[in-house]
Amino acid sequence: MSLLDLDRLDNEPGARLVAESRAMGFSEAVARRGLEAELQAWSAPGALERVREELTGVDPERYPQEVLIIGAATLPVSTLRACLMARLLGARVRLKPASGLDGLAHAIAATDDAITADCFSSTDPESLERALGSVETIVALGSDETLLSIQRRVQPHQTFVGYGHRVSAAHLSQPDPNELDDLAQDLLAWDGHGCLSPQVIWTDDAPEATGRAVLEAVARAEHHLPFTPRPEMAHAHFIAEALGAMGGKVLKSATCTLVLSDDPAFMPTPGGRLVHVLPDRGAPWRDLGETLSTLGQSRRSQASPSHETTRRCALGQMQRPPLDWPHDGHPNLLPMLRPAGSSSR
Amino acid sequence: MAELRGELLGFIASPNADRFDGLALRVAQRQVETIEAYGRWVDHRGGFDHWTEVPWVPTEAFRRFDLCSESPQGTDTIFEPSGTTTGSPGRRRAPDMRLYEAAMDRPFVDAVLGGDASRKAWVSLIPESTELPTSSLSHMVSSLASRYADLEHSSWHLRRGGLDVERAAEALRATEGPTVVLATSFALLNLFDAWQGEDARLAQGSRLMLTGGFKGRSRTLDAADLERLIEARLGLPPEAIIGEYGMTEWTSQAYGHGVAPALQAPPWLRLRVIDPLTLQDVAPGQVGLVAAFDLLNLENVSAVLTSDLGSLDEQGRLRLHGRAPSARPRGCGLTALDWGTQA
Repeated sequence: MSLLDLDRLDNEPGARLVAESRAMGFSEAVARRGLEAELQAWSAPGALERVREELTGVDPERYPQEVLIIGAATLPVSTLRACLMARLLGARVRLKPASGLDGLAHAIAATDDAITADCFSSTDPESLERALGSVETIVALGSDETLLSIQRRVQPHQTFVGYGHRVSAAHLSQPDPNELDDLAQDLLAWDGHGCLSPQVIWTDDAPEATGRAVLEAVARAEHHLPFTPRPEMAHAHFIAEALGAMGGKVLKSATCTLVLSDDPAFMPTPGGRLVHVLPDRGAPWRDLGETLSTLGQSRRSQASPSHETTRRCALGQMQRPPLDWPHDGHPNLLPMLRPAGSSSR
Repeated sequence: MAELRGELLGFIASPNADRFDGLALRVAQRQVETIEAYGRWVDHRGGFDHWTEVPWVPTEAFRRFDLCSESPQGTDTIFEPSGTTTGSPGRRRAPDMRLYEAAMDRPFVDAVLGGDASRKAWVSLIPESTELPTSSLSHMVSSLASRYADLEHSSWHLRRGGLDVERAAEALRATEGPTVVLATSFALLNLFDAWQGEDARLAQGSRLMLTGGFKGRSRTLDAADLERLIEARLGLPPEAIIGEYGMTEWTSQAYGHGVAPALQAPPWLRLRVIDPLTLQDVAPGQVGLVAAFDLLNLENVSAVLTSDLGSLDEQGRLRLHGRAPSARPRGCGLTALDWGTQA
């Protein structure tokens, strides 16, 4: 597991991960901040041991020898974590990236001889069948539609783990300035992409007052974390901004857009630093059920998610999940094991 | 309002390009003043002095807001699109259909009927408006049929229950004189997929009006293959195929020849292709988002941004290049980024 040596991102192979993250459209600072957060999770004292505790009493015969990771356009850190978790089981990893992200797969593969980049076109069913057929365990990250289409191809003797559609939000109750600064970091991390990024900020104050306070905090942080809008997401951004302005109000900083509304119902966003600020009337987060991955909360927040799998964390930690965080409510290692009683060794 | 509508009816009757700018500005100003949500959007974007500066409204806004200047009445016509495969349907409330009715004839007669307005047999794979009253396409086709179809020898084969393949094929095989066939691409392909028995041989002078594209359907076909199939099944050469482009949110339609037509807009519809990032027009030949200023959307919003991708040629004709990816829920991924990079 040489990936754990990546505590520095200035030299190879870490520098290549930064470069490939930048190639995905993230600024150097955003890429570094995100990758550093992930590597810190792996190097935190006792982190590995806590994850491995899952395996207590498990027959090692059930460990898969090879795991296929299908990263359907995930954040670099999501793919990285999936690969590393498989490596914790001692499995070889074949990494199939989304089309256009071959560089990221090669960068991750360059960190560990047991990881191989398996790059083929998503529209090539034969290659997909070959890749799926050659492993015992398949881990897929992506949209629910993508997961379903992969799962349909999985054989009964294979293990499938899918990480699909989840959303995250923040709840503010009388936040102090430091907490707003922390929330700004959550908003700016990975430019608001990924399932851990807050799409909605619920507030017990007026949305406009909260929005203005959040925007001030964002303005303090954003010049350290540059952002360039991307053409491929501009349309969705425009739609969200138009709908926001037509139904309520829109506040903008240099790189961040806050859409304010008096309707508390959750609103998805396209990412790219566009977030909704909504009143918390009626505990609207409860409607999300297990779809709510993470709820970042100010200290005075009493918000209680409806589903036990929702991760509750302090502001500033939303995009920094600990290593033993049960992703989508599941253990990290156990779902990858072969079914009890099966063995290929 | 009545005065402006009268001027627009006059423009339809006698288009004068020099008058477009002035009318468009007045129409847009009126919409800003009378449609509250639109006014907020324009306030946010900072106003305009010319119709080309009017803030675009994405078609998605029609799903969320009642973008109509008039109070709801029981007599309003409500249009909802039927072809989209995701998301909630759009909706346009049209209190007055006079502009719509006045504008549809000439472009249709010129493009689809080749200027020959005599009544012909129609075979339609588009439902009648009585079958699908909220479909603007059905409304248009039914309205045109009442004026240009030989109703005694015309037939409709798509109903809520689905496409009556057998009867449609029979009707097409039984045609004698020049016939007008109307279909969405998807319905036509469904017909061909289920087609059994002899091919039809439509008489010379027959026309096929094709519309709708595939909009993310599981079954698609590229233009050349579809043209070959149409020629094989119906005996219609590519030059007898006319593409129609319209949408629930517009009053007007554009037409062009072939399965992948170069679409020509009528004088009251200005088609543009814009860069989604800058919202500025792209150069001819470059692909961007299709936007339109429909002068006749008087009670709704004229500056509409679609989710279609297109390019304009040097003559200002539009070619469509599919659909832009739409916002959708996020997995543990990149949302917008994964639009172009599906696993």
